[in-house]
Amino acid sequence: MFKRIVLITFIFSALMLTGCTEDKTVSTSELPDVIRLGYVGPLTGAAAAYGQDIKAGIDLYFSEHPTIGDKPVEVIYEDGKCNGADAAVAAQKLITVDKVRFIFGGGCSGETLSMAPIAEENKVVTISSGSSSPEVTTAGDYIFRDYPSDSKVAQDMAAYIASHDRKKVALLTEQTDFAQGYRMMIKDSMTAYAELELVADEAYGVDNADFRTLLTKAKQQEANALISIGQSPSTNGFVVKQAKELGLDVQIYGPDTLSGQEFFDIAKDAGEGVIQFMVVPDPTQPGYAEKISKLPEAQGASIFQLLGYDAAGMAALAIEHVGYDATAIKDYWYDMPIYKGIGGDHKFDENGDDTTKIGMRIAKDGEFVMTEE
Amino acid sequence: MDYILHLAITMSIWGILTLSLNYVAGFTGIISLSHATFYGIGAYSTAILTVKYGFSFLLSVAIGMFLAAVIAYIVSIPLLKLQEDAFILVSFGFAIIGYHVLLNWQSITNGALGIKGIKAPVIFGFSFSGKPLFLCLVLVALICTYFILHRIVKSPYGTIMKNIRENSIVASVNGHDVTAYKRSVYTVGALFAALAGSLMATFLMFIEPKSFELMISVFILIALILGGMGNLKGSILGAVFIILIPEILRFVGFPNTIIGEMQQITYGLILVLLMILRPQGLLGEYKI
Repeated sequence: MFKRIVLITFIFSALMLTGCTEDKTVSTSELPDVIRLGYVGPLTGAAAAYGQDIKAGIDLYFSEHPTIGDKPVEVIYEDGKCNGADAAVAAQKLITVDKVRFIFGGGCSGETLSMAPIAEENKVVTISSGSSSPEVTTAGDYIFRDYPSDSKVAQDMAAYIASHDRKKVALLTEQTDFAQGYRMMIKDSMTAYAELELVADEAYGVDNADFRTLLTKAKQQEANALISIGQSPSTNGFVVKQAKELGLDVQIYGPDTLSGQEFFDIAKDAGEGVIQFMVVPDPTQPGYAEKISKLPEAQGASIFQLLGYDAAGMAALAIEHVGYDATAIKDYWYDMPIYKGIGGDHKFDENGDDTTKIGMRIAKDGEFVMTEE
Repeated sequence: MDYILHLAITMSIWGILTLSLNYVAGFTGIISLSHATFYGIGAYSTAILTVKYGFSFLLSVAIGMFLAAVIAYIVSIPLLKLQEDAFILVSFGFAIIGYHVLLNWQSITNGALGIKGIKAPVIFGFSFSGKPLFLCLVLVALICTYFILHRIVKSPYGTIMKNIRENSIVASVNGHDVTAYKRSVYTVGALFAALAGSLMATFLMFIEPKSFELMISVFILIALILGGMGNLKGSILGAVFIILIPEILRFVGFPNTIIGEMQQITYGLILVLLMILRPQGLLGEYKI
């Protein structure tokens, strides 16, 4: 029996070896009859809100621009479930079966980092509108993102706090990869400023809604600045509300996951004055209001929709200029002048990271507004 | 073809994983929800030792397996004092602890950011880079796992394992040290789960704590029940099904607006139907 299994295995492996030697897809600079683009992002699970938002942005762009150079565009959506293993197999399917040379995704850093070796090996361009891990920077030549690295946002946040009076910082983070990645970056960035003191560094479970114990600890440590990195606007809303209830005299900061009506619905007046560091869309950009009105209500945050829209626009622009050839698209993007998108201005650096400017908004009268500071 | 190879590799690795849980749960009746933790220990050992310290693949795998076995043995001391439901709940707790250790021990595991740049295995100077060669490697590992576990369960030791599964009190009355048997079974199961983890880490070239969370333990158990508990061939069949069903659903052509949700709902329905139609699993010899 064992011999039979071994024999079958070797025959099978030999067939695989022979079959696979000629399976490398040849790139072409001519546009195919149908331009098939791939998408890998979380469409189900805890991070689905962000994946669905990015998808909504891509959908809107290609509903407005259904062709590139007279050739119809088809986007093939695959659920990466915010999981490396699922994203890798989804990318492999898109590349091998659907023959795509371009993939929007991953929606999470884990997805992007698992897809990267496959995309690099097959010379397929990917662009992520939701990966914030600093590890993505060095993931490969074909790996791009129009969402900023955590490290960049964290550096700006630490620099801002250091330049102001309140320097005793309490850090509250949710136990998710996004929030924990942020936490690491903020702690790293704070080491550059001797005047900053991290008086509390507390992590809490996913979907927790009672932070009084952690906030009391921060109060006892005499924190006067509080960084809240929750995964959702509602979680951050509860942190802010309870901080006020406990009488904490702190300036509160957070990332783009503060955006969302739930934040103000929960935090109410306590939300006023909270400062948010994030990719800042330019409302003065022509067509901004029109796009916002056309997009469905964001499930996570509207910035992901806008960045998805911009990623689709940049893809269409590159394909129009250099054809549906991944290497040519990659080279085009590295040299591309500033792309005026709805989610902001985009320009890729030598690592494929967007040089997007990080902006600051402050909560005022129940909404976040730009601040000049 | 690369897609088929990718699936074949994933199914083979899951085959090892399911076989190892079958050894523990199917043959001995220890329904554990902590298997993903040992899978993670193997993956992280290989990733850390090869990427950070330049260890060879084989040595990193050996250390990963050894480490998983030692941890399993230590953990089994309090865990195996508990019976059935209580054991399942506590093993569930252990899986949560394991996940949070991977997430929070940042100096070693790199926390939520995971570890990237894990190289393809090189054994005695021969590199298993490329999917066809990697498939050969995992198939060899799968066959070895099958063969070793088959020899054990067919031995007198295996007969005692099954006696413990059927009635641990009778086994104890017959003079067998039930706890010692269970402890050794749990340890060996963890050892092979770690092997699967090492292979998965070098295959994906990137790992993160999320890949070893509680739900993975649940999916391994589903694969085992689906294939049939107490049957080694069933474990491999269960692994094939658990990987293949969602992939087939990618080709069904659900509307783009609800594609992800429909795939998940259909996947769940198929699993429910299979359980209703075949509660003992496809090739099952033992039912929970």
